[in-house]
Amino acid sequence: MKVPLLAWLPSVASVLALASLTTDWPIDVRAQTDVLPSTARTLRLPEVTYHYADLELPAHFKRDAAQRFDNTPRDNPVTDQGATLGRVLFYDTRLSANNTIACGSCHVQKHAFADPNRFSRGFTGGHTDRHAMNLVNVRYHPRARFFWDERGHNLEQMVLLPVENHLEMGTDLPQLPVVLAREPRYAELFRQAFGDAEITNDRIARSLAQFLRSMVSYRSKYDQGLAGARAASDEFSNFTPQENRGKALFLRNCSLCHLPEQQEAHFIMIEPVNTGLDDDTEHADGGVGDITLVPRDMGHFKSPSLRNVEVASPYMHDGRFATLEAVIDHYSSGGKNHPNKDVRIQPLHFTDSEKAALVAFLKTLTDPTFLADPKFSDPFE
Amino acid sequence: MRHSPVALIMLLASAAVVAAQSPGQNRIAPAIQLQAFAFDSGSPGLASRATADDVVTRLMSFDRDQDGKLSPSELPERMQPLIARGDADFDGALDAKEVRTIALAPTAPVTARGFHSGGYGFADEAGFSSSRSHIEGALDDLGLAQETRQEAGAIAGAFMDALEADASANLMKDLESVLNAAQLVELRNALDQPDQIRRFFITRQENLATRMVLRGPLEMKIEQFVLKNEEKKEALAAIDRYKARLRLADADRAALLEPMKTLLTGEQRENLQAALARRPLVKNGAIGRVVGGAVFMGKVVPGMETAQPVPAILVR
Repeated sequence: MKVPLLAWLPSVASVLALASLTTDWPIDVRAQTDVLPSTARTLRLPEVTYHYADLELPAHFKRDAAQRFDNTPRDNPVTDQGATLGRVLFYDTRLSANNTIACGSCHVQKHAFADPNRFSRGFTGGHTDRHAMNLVNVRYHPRARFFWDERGHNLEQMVLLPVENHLEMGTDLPQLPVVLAREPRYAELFRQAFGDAEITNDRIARSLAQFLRSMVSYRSKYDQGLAGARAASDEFSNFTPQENRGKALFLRNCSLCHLPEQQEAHFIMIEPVNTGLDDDTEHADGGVGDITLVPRDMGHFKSPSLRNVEVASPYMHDGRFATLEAVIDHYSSGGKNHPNKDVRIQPLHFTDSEKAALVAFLKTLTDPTFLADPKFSDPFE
Repeated sequence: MRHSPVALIMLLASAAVVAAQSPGQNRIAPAIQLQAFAFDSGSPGLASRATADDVVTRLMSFDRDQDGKLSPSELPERMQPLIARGDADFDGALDAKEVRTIALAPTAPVTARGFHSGGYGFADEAGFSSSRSHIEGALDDLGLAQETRQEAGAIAGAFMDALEADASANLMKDLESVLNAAQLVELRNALDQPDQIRRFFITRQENLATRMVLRGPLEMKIEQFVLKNEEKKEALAAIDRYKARLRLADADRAALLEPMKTLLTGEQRENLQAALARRPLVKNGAIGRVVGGAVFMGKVVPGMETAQPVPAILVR
């Protein structure tokens, strides 16, 4: 199917608001993620359920400083059966109004569950105005706030917002359990996950959240190097000199934000930040501030994990940077003078060899096992 | 009003000095004016630089039909809940006044349990990093061969010895007209102490706003001396000049790199120069809780103190 480059605007009155979500910016269509509707494919699950709960994590994930990042609520721990159901739902196009789009259509495993396109195509062909961020290690965002503007207050609430969004999946949530009940295998999946076959939106949300929390990346070259060292600041024996130099530069210049709180496992930012991407407070995306209307939040955006960042391009909330080099150039320049720009965003003036070393280090955060792990893959064939 | 993007907090806060008084020392003033340390962040919970006017201007830019009201169809879907939140006159839309009311409503910062917002600043101003340690770190990051690293370290050490001696001599000369002979000796001793780590004092203000003040041993000495206000002001200004002198300027970096011409490659010198030009940042790990150190480059810096586990609100 040919994809229109111009955003399609729905004509019904209830979705006129979508006009402001579309954009005139160039849209990258280098890797559209078309999938056949789930109803045209066969659900294939392994005879023995994949292992999602109680992962065998490396030591640096188990230290107190790292464990406290875990946002798993007591009433919704990850179970093998719950995450299995979540996996099926994640890839089921029946979650969209016209059976064309699944969560996995935009959150692509080999791209760290980000969209390789700058903007994502919704169920009717319209495009979002933000990049679909990666879903790596969302379990370890201690504030448990999600989306670039943090409007999702926990994973259980967040997962249904794109499902009912009029541009993204457009589903009438009260009807969703009815639609899913037409697939006979869901009864058994819900029974295994929750004890009985009742399908509710709450259960859909909880199982999707379990699946997302099970997506933990911990087998990168960095993790292997750290396992053989006393600390991240040591030279890693499995790193090249350039990677070790990049690591040193990262720890000195980037870790305050991206490897925070005296731990060495989670490359996430605790809080949203204004990084000086724009200096226009009127027309540029206000991020968190557009949701809260709090002046200090204007231009603040959440940051996803840097794990697997190599394959999660394009970068930033609007996918404006196509390469890691462009991202580093931004921080090297110190960004634009937005009134809320964070004090940490200072011109770093990286030299060319420093930039190359930083990129080399960031690529050590790639976890090929995670990116190809069948337990996170599309179960519809 | 727009503020400079790099403007940092400088405030005068009334604080009670909690330092111990040594026998024979001058009396400690019960309440003194302290200069607050310049920690700042755009992070939630701290001072804002964008204003409610900015928010109103931003929101009303969505008013496509220019009728002065934001209807649901004019807002992105993610922002439409704002109408239910702020529609005071129940007309199904938001006007500028209603937007402003939301923007000015007091809000609590969002924090995760056990984590603390903001508190970022320059490590050299916080006393967590000296130019000497900054140079050493930059040399470490170059990944030099051991022998080259030692030679470069020796050059850097001699350079810093000279810089510190020059700055110290200037400070003592500046203070000659302000302090008496005994006070000059005390200050000289404080100056010669290798441990220049600062200490925290937190004071609770009216309306429960709490402000953090950082003090170093040199300022502590000045506070302990009985001085007239003008003398104290002059002495503190001299200390500020001393600290500024210890921060590497362009000429200092050039002077440091000159003797390394034959030791380092052109690329290594370029990288070293770039690294030296960066000011290290630090997160104050002590805000809001009592801990034994601060996080600097992933390492704990010992010697921090907090008075009580309360959140710090810094004002601009």
